[in-house]
Amino acid sequence: MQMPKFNSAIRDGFADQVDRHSLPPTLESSNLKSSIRSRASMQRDKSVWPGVIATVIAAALIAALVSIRISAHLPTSNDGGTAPPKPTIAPAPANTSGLQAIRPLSASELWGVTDRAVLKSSDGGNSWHVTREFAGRISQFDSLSDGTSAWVLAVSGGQLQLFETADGGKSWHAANAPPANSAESVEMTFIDPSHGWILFSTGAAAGSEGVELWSTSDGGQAWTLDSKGSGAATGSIPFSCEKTGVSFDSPNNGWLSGRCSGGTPFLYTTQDGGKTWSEQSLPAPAGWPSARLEGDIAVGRPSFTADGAAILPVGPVAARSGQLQTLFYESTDHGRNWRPMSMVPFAPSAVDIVSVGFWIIAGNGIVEATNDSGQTWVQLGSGQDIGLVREIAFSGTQDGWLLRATSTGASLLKTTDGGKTWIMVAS
Amino acid sequence: MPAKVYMGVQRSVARQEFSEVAKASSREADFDQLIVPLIEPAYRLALSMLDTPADAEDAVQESALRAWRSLHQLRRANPRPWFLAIVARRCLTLRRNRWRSLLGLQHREVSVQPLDDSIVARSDLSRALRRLPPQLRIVLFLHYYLDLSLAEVAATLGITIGATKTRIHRALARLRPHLSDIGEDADAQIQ
Repeated sequence: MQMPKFNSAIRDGFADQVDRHSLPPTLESSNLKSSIRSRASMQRDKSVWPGVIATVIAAALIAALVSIRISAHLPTSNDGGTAPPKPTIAPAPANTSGLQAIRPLSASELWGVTDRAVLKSSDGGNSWHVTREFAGRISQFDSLSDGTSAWVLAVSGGQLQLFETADGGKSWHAANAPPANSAESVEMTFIDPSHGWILFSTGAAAGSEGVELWSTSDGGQAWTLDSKGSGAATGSIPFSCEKTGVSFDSPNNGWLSGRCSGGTPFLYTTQDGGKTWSEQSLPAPAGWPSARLEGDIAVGRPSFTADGAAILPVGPVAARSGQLQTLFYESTDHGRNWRPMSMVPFAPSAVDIVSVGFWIIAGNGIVEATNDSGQTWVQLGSGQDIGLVREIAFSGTQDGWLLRATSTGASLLKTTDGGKTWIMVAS
Repeated sequence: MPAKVYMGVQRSVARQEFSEVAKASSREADFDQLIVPLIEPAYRLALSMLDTPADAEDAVQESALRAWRSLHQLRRANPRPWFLAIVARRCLTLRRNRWRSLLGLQHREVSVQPLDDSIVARSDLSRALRRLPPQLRIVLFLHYYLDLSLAEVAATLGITIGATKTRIHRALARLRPHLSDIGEDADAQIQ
């Protein structure tokens, strides 16, 4: 067989990945332009003719008042909108191929999130029902482990919409989205029914990024702009580096992580709920004069357990062998101090911390677990390449789920024996 | 004088409507001529950067909307690197979403179809390409798959031609074992 030439070999390598996908109908010229015109006109309508709009709003208010009088005795939708109420019939089975995220609540109950819907399963992921479909695309989802509270941040026509449920998804209500100067959210996180934060990107350029951090202390009814990452003022979030996520483990203590080019790891911490930030240093591994970092250094979002244990992935780090590795830090004091504990020779796409020292990671086609803070790792499963894992999440030491990407969407696998065996429960 | 004010508003609105129609017509012609031919390569670029075809579709749709709104900025710029830069930025933003990638360092596309014998020789290279960091993979994709010149790659990524060459060097260095497997000397090819 004649060996391919250098240039064509690389081109063929990429072709293997991309050429088998034909252009989807939505990207064909006429469909694309129709979609753009529709969305662009929505934007234009928002920005011109304020007088006309004021008139329309006035007319709408009058119509609404009339409508309220007429429909005073009719049931209304539970999001406060004008949509007709949804019939209270048995929930429809959901298509799970579009699952983007999962959040286990117990061995049998878990949330699922697709692009436009929040699903729920009560039988370990075997069957799902739609709790609510949203008009906009879901950009963020977060839930509490109590099983009742969850939030959705959606974007529709360039506008942010926030929804919340306090009854496990039986009903969803419109809340107030923060009046951010951007619809591009990086992360939304809630730690209890009242306290939540949303980090928005206001624009990235040349490895730097402006952000806005908004917080609520009443479950999303009112929002306060805590910090703008656009300057060099003491205590503010720096403009340098791209931000990868924000997390909190109490109303005051939080972390902001990021990705920098060729610099030190980006990790900032706050002790006042996000108003002021200071850099938190990460110690180098023992025996290293300093962690030698290469390329774009990313600090992952810290993952916490309820008892204050946490892990923090940082990578890629060049080990002495020259191999790029991901370095895991551990904290057992609510993130006040971090210790370098373990390195793995790949970049994990999913991480879960089950309890102190018990971590599960997925990446490079495999799933590995440790129960001694990364000193020893055990490969879980049959050794078969498991593909790209989007999420791995355990509800205890035995029951866990693994959401992996497929060429047609996603498939969900479940284990009931701590990861030794996995069975597909939804695809 | 409320009537005159009212009529004045109406004339203003009429002029604005005419202006909007003219602008929209011109913009659509520009879009057809400059951007539509780039949708297919943009989709390929997004597929190479993201995990699923759905993500790639979303990235290109969003990028096309941004291009539509910003066409006036294009002026004399080369449309190919201009539009691909929008797509690349969108892909990198999507990759950052924690639902899709924890660190944004890894990209693996699940192969659900068995490899044909004829591509076994290059399967290792294909896998190695997928495992390159996004910033290195994109430079190879733009240069070798989409055939962009070094200057166009540099314009797309917002870096200098020298930095583009450096990234290609680094990417090829990582691929060296796989390029050796197919009988090619990477060092000899890096100019």
